[in-house]
Order: sequence, then C-alpha cells, then structure tokens
Amino acid sequence: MPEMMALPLIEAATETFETLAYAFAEQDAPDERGLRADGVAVVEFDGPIHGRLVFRLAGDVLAVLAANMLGQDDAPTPAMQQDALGELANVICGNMLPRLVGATAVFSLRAPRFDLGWDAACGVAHTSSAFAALGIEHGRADLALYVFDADLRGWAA
Amino acid sequence: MSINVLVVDDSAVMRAMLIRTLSLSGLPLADVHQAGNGAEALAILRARPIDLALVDINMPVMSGDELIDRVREDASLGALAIIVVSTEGSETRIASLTERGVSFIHKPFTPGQIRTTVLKVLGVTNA
Repeated sequence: MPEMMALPLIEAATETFETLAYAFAEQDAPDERGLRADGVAVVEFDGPIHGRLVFRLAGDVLAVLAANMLGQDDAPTPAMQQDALGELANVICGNMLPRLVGATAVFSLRAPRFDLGWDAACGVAHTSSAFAALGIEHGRADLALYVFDADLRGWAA
Repeated sequence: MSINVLVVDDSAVMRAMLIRTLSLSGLPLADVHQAGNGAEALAILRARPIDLALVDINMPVMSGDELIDRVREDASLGALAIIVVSTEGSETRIASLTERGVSFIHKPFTPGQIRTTVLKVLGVTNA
C-alpha cells in the first residue's frame, strides 16, 4: 500500500517544484541530521478518502524556493516564505490526490496549517501511509501522506 | 486595448507569481488589483472597471465558487471574463466551472499557459 501511494506523491512533488519553484528534486536526499528545519506545513483533505499531507523543508531551502517563486534575488520575508511553503504543500496535495484515486474524484483541501511540528503532525498512527524524501537544492523535502481510510482497493489512478 | 485585471487568491505568493507572469507575458496591462478572498474581490469588482479576473477556488470568507456564482448573478458583472487558477483536478468540478463560462488553468502552471489562456479568453489573436 505505501508503495502504491509513494509514486503519485513523488510525481506531484517533483512537478510542483519544477514548475512553480524552478527547482529540480532528486530521489537521493541528504541526511536530515544536521539540516536546519525550514518549516512544516500540513494540508488536510476530505473526499473519497480523507487524510493529511505533512510537508517539511530543511537545509535553508525554503528561502531559495520562495525567492524562485517570486522571481527575486533576495530572500523573501519570513511571512512570504511561510506562504510559499503552504502553497507548495497545497499544490502538491491537490495534484497528488487525482493521481491516487482518479480524475473524477472531488476533494476538499483545507488551508495549510503551520502550527504543528513534524513529529506532532506525523504522530497519528494509521495503516495507510506513504513517505518520500527528496533532495532539492542543497537541502531536502520530506513528504508524509496519511490516509485515514485503510482500504484503497478499488480506486485506480 | 489595455486590460484591467483582478487577481484573487488567499496566497500572497501566488498573487505575486500571477501578477509577475502577467507583467512579463507582454499582455497590454492597465491596472492590476489583488484580493485575498471572494468577498474582497466582489467589492473591487463593484468599485472598479475590471476586464479579467484570475480566481482561486479554495479561499476563506468567500470561495472562488461562490464568487463566480455572485458575479454571474449580477447583471452589471455577469459578462466578466474569469479564469480559475487552481489545483482542482476533478474533471467533474472543472466541467461545472466551464458550464458557467469560466476558463481553467491548473496549478502548477507555466507562464506560457497563463499567457495562452488569457489571450484566448480575451479574444486577442495578435499579441
């Protein structure tokens, strides 16, 4: 089950980083130890399945991606960087879900939240989940998908 | 012909990206306005001459869906050119939007997609 969900997650993230932030993601991510966490965004979704996507950037990547998105050389303000983090999470989640359950499914995504750290956001224990770690710029992106519906059989992308 | 544009998205970053893309695309822009939700957008639409609105769907206070309904119900605004810019991937919901005379650009978008769709919606053939 995790393998089935990891590929749509990776594909959606890779496309989003390239198209919105002009950054190429690799499946070889640097060791997270020693990397400063830039921020965590959580997007919860409801629809044929419901759950949450937890998205973390680390290694001083967020400022670079946000600057790329805005087309500026200087690092954006912390508020704009957080906004960029949330928008990246939102777009990745919105693009991943149709890949997972099909193009006719209707989902509702809630606004990204930033009040949970990685451990708190990933603290829910569910059987259906997927994880991807991507190398991006000189840092990494971690994506953890939690699907609260245990059985995805019958849904085909 | 210069066009007045309204960009509606609860993300300031996304609004800035869209405005920058529009500015770099060679489109004949006049005034560009911003709104963070549908209610703010409606107020601007009733106060300013707007030729084109780029609208997100998932927003607080008033969603893009509700904004579109309110615009289409208003005789003074009903013909406004609207492009939804959203992560929405459901064919069902996209069909619902196009039935209301709305065009659609999927996030993540390329600058070329923005330009092409805007030109098509405005009926501009040589720009």
